[in-house]
Amino acid sequence: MTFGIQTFRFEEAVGRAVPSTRGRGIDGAGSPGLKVVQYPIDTGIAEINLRFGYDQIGDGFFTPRHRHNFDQFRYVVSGEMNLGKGVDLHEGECVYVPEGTYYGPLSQKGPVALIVLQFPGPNGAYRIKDSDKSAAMAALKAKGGYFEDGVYKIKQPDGHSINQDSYEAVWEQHMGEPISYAAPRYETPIIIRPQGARWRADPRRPGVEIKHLGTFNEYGTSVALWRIEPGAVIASETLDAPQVRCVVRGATAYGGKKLDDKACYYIPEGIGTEPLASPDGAELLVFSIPMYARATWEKAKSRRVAATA
Amino acid sequence: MKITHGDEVASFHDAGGVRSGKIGKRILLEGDPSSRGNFKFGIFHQSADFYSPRHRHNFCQFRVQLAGTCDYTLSGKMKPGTIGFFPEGAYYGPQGPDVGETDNATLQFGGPSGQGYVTMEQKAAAKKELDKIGVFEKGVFRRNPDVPGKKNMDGFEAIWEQANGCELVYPEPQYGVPIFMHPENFQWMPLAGVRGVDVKTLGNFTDCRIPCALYRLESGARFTARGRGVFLVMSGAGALQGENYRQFTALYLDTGETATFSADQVSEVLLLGMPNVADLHAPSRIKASGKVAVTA
Repeated sequence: MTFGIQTFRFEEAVGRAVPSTRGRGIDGAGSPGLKVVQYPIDTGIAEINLRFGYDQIGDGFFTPRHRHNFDQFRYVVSGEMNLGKGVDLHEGECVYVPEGTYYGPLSQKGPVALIVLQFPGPNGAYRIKDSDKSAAMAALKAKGGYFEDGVYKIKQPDGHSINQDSYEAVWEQHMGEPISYAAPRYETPIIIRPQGARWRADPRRPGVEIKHLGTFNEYGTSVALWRIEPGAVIASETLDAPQVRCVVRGATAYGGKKLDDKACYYIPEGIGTEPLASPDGAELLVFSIPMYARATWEKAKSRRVAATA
Repeated sequence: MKITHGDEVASFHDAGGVRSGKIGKRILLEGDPSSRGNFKFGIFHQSADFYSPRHRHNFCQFRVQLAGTCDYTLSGKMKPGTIGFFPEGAYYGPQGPDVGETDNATLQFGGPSGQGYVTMEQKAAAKKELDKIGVFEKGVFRRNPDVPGKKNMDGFEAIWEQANGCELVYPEPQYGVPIFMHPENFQWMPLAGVRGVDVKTLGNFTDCRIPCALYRLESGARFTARGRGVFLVMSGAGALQGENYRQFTALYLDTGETATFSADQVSEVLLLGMPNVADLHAPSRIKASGKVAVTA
């Protein structure tokens, strides 16, 4: 993959079964797994391993209450997603789960399809790849442990059992170090209901209206919906901050390529885009991640190194 | 622009209060009652017997927990230092009872829907009328049996409808729950182009991009505040537009106004933003149906 502006039609993304540490029963055998379609985005920075994908979760899927050392957004394409007791996310709604913030338990009722973005947050902890997960899970099982209801369980030589959040166990196995979590910036996940927000004309892009849904943390990670009028063309532009754009309605055209339902753009900062057209109109889900601008990332990395020195 | 010093404002008990338990109020700043952008900012002391049922509002709020822990039950807890953004239309609480004494600074303001904010005077007048036909009990207005109308209503809702003469239709919430922020867990970032000033951007919320941020000024630094909102001095001392600022000095800036803080001591200033009035939706009141219609 060459670093630069990247576009993926849904058909160009990679569909496969993901090794999940979650689900009911031993190895999640008691509930349907995850079906994941992943877009192979390359941010150009080795330690930024973000996962952008289309996830389908089946009825009965379960995850215990837990937290992560990375940030994530989830947007419901169809169905309803359970986020905890009495908390559901409906079609067209979105949630921002910041690093270090607890959520769940998640007990899925009925199928749900989601657009998911998981990415290293302001604390810069490495988000392990799904391919790394398989090897780590196998190694943990080889030690005599097993995964049950989203928890890794292993009996110690002295007879007592250790229960650990399964993602946490897998992360520690792969990284060879104890996991550390950012102290939470926000108390709970932020549930975003775009239907309550109004469209506002984008002063920089004629023919585009924006629903700003939220900007978070000290780096200004943000999410918005863009509505492109039929026939409008977004002129060439150079962004200050990297963006992930996903077509959630209608179709766009870019560089001679038709990008429609669930197609994805990754646009790094500082690189001029080609015009983006939408002959019949489109709606885009747009994530902006200023901390991934190379200069900002490098500065933050130096700061983290200095803080731990 | 308005500047008020918290230590110069007396506390009182509000006659228009609709919840149970006492609240001591120090009102530092108020907006223009005729504007959809009306607001009220104050420092409040809630007694241990305060209780408020699960409810919602048709305006937005920022709450800054100063002392004690405020338990919003289903919405979580606010410990000292926590800042909460309560979006219009989103349910929160119940709150209390028996949560102990708490202090908070609260900004209530007309939100993106443009439904505005009812003044304390309007609320007191409405309550006086409602007291004749029912009772307020644990935050709920209970109409006397012989009086036509809804028997039990949220206390605020009853007051609002009495004051406005029409049914309250809540705006669709832009967030499902209040957003509680822990500023101590954000990193300070240098404020671009301003020597000696760091900022923690805590968030920008709703389609109106309502900002919340904390600024830290080194001794000797100058910081020019701008943007519509309330700037509250959390600590430190210095000069502000010819006055001495100190803890709980509050500055209100309207759109396009600026004011400069010159720090004599290391200071922290909290911005609780409000939408520009021009960005607010203009609801049309349909008197025939008695409803306030608001369309996104």
